[in-house]
Order: sequence, then C-alpha cells, then structure tokens
Amino acid sequence: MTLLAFALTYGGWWALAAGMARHGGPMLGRGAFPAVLAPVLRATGGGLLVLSFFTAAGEYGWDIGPVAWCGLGSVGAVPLVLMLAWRPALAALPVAPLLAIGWWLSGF
Amino acid sequence: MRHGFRQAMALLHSWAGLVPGWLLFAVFLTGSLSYFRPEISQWTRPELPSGAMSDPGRDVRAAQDYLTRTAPDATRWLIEMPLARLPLTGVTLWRERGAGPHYRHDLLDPRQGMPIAARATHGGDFFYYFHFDLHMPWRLGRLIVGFSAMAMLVALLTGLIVHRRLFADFFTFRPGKGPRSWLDAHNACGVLALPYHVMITYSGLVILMSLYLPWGIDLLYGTDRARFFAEAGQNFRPPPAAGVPAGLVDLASLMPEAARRWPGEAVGRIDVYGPGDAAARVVFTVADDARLSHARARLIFDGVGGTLLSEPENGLPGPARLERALYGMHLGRFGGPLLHALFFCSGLLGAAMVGAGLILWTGKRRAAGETHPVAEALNLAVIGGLPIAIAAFFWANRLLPVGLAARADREGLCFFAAWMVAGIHAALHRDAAAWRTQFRCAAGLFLALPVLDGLTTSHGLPVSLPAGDWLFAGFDLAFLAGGGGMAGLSLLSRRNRRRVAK
Repeated sequence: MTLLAFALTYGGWWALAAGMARHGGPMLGRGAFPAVLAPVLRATGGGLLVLSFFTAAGEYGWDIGPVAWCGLGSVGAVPLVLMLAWRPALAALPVAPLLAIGWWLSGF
Repeated sequence: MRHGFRQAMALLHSWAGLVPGWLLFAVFLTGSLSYFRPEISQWTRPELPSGAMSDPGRDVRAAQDYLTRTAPDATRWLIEMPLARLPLTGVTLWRERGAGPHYRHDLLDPRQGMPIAARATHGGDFFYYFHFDLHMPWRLGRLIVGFSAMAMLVALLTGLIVHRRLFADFFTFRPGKGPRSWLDAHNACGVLALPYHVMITYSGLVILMSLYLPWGIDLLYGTDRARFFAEAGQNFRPPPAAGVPAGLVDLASLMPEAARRWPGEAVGRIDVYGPGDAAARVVFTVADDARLSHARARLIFDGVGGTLLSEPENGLPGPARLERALYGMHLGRFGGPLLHALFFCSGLLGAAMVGAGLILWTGKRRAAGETHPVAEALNLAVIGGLPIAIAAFFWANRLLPVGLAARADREGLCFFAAWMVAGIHAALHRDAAAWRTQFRCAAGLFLALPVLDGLTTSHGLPVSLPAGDWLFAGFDLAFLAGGGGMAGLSLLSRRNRRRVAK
C-alpha cells in the first residue's frame, strides 16, 4: 500500500511537471509542447496526488497518514527533479511499473 | 516599496541563514541519524544476540528483580521495555539520599536480567544528544541550538518571500551553471520538503519551549514547575513519601490490566516513584510506536496494593495536546521503518538545503570577485568534514579495543578529532581540490565500513544478507549508498571545474 501511495505521488508530480511549458517538451519527447495537453496533464497530476493522500491515509490512518503523505511527496519528487535535469524523457519510465507493482502488492 | 521589502527580506534571509547555517547543517544531519537511534545502538553493539523474542511479563520481572537487588534505596525507578527495534530493557534510577550514585542508567539483557555484556558505547544516543545538546556543559548547547532554530524559522519564512518563482521553478534544477545551480538546489531542497522543514524547526522549538520562553510559566507557577509539567501531561507528580517502609507490588501482576486497557498495544515504560515506601506509585505508559501524538496513555497504580487509581490523559487541555502532537511528530517514532526512512530522507534534504545555501553565499561572492576565507573554510569544514567525522565514529566503534577505559567517550573523541583534522585541512586549503579530497576521504571511509564490519564482527554482508538480518545488512547497504553519494559529489565537483575551465 505504501508503494502504491509512492507510485501515485511520483506519477502525480510527473504529470504536473509534464503540464508545465518548461518541462513538457523534453519530458514528452517532442520538439514543441502541445498547449492543449497542459490542462489535462495538470488535472491528472493533481488528481493522482489526491488519490495518493487517501491511499496513505488508508494505510496509516488519519493521524499518521497525512504525515506519511507529506514525506512521500517530498522524497518522491527528488528522483523526478534529478531526472528532469539530466534525462527528462526517461522520467516517465518508472510510472507504469511502479503503479502496477504497487497495485499488485496492495492486493486489489 | 514592494521591491524594497523584498530586498530587506533577502538581506535578512541570507544573514539568518548564514550565521547559524554551519551549526544547522550539523543539527539536520545528526538529527536525521537520530531517527535510527535504536538501530544505531544495536549496530554499535555487535555482540548482542539479534532477534531475541521478548516476553513482557518475564522482562518486567527480571528488571524488578535487578532493581530490588541493586537499588532498593532509590527514590525513583524507570523501566523502559524492550522494543523490536532494540531488544534491551533500559533501567534508570534516581537517588536523593543514601550512598551510591544519584543517577544510573543500565541496559539489561531481558533474558538474564543482567547488564548486557557488550562493548561500552553511546551508540545512537551520541548523535541524538549532539543534535540538540552539542555535548556541551549546562544547557549551553540547547540554548545555542535553540537560537539557531529560531533563526532557521526566520530564514524559512523570509526564504518563501524572497523566492520569486516558487511554482514556476518547482521542479527546476540546472546543473553545471555555478551559483545558478546552487540556487536551484537550495530552492528545490527547500520547497520540496517544505512541510518537513517547517514542522521540524517549529516542533523542535516547542519541545524546549520551557527553556527558551520560561517567563510565562514562572509568572503563573512560580517555583512549582513540576505542577506545570504535570498539568501539561509531560510528567507525573507523585504524592510525598510516607516514610513508612512497605513492599512494592509485583509489577508483572499489573501487566494484564494494561493489556486489557490497551488492546494491541504494548507497555512502553514503567515509572516507579518511591519503591519500598508506603506511598509508592507505579505509572504504566503505552509504547510510542503506534500513535502520532506523544500524549501517551498512562495508568497509575498504587505501588503497594496494586489498585488502579486513575487514567489522567483523558482530560489534557487543548494546547497541551497540541504540544504532545508536535513532540511526537518531531521524534517520528511511529509508522515503522518505511516512515522512519522518509523522515531520514527529508532530514537529508534539510541538510542539503542548508549546505547548498552556504555554498551559494560564498560562491556568489566569489563570482563577483570577493573572497570570504572564513566562510569558505567553515563551509568545507562542516559540509565535507562532518560526514568524515560520522564515518570516524562508526570506525572507532569497530576498532577501539573492547576493554579500553572510558571507551564510550573515546568513540565520541574520535568523532570530534576527525572533524577537527578535517577543519584544519579546510582552513589551510579552501580550493576545489580540497573539497574533492574531503569528499573522497568520506567516500572511502563509508565504502570500506562494510569490509571493516565483515572483518571485525560476524555480521558482514556475506552473512547478514542470506540470513535476512536486515539490521546489519541495512547498515552496510546504507554505508555503501552514503559512500557512493560522497563519491558522486567528488566527481560532480571535478566535472564542474572542468566546465568552468573551458
């Protein structure tokens, strides 16, 4: 369940970054950033972060859950920032496997 | 006007951050290690049998036997129950009269009820106390750390005002661009873990608020501070001693009552006030690994008859409950190893934020043709030197002879001696080559620690990994990761210098 929350946080940060004009182009591997996509990506990112909040609360309860969510958010953004600096196109790679393994481990 | 305000805030930010910055870096780094205080205490005592199953009834009985035998005349006992994280019973006693020490703390092997037969070390307590006490006499260290934390809070708030593009630069890090890169790193580490930084700084101040802001308490409670702490739910005030001897109740016989009141939660500690006195009180406190707040449930028993007297925590006033919650969050003992790792990483981000800020301060001025030798030397002495000192502590733990006199303190001495050597090196050479030397030195010390561990103990990686001994395997892997990180930093600084040279 914690891994699922982490996957959702990372995915959320990824989508939020991909929805920004500065990062979107290199991250999506295209020359020009498609402006139409930006609001969709940003809404997806926000939605994933909300989902990860509820996943963390489900795992740790309503007192420790929000603390865990903040920690996952802070730590989950670090690898993304590092990848955006050196290999922006690869930042999307971990999203799907992380979500799949997290989903599988949490036994849905 | 707006411009002037922001400039004033920028000035305040750089001074509130710079002056206590070197200390704050050390507080963040050693504080982060303190999330693993019980684990470090176990790693530094490799002789202890690992994975001992505990049996609360037996452990309490062994501790009571030991204390009755060795300190029947003490005024207070404290028994800290073994945890999964540290399977040892902590016993502490205070004496107000009679012969013998006024304070003594022992670690018992719960199965034998005797002090452990392990090397003398401060273990995880060394970093834990350093991070707010600096191992200084009186309360000097706590005051210095407190003033630094207040400056840190100012630096955090002014930093938010000064940071013009908080959301636009949220994910931005542009490496290899000199001061620009350090500003990016400083901002990213600050913004990404901002909830942690604010929480840890503020709650740290709250924990020691009676030291930093004593005047309100003095005004209302006068000299009777114990009453304040009792009303705030921070300690228990026993009735005065009766002066009539009476046998203490069998503590283990009270355990079933605690188990009934706290289903699924263990007893964390047992305080005995006035053992052997007719007015003795026994206080059971629930373990602190299951709840966020440090307002831990307590049961108060009559120490002679064993009748349950009260459960005081239910009526704690709101501010006291908030204080206990902040206390619990600062300590971060709840939530299991994954959450401890998240706290640890957030703390490292805090150290990285402070470190990048310090390097930015001197780097920006050097780019403008100014050099500040003292600040540059301190930067290297702290950012490069402290990791070396931490590694030296772990090396000393494995290399100092077990029978050495004052062995525990000498481990600490090795920490400070290594730090001092790094500091002298930093004062003599402040150039990029000196940074690489110190990073390489730290990398070498950390990378070789698993080898040293394998040579000096029976817990080396080839043994601990197949055996699933995650404590020792985890430390070795963490040392490798730490060493790899330091090696990465030394490579990075070399590459940057080449780029600047072109």
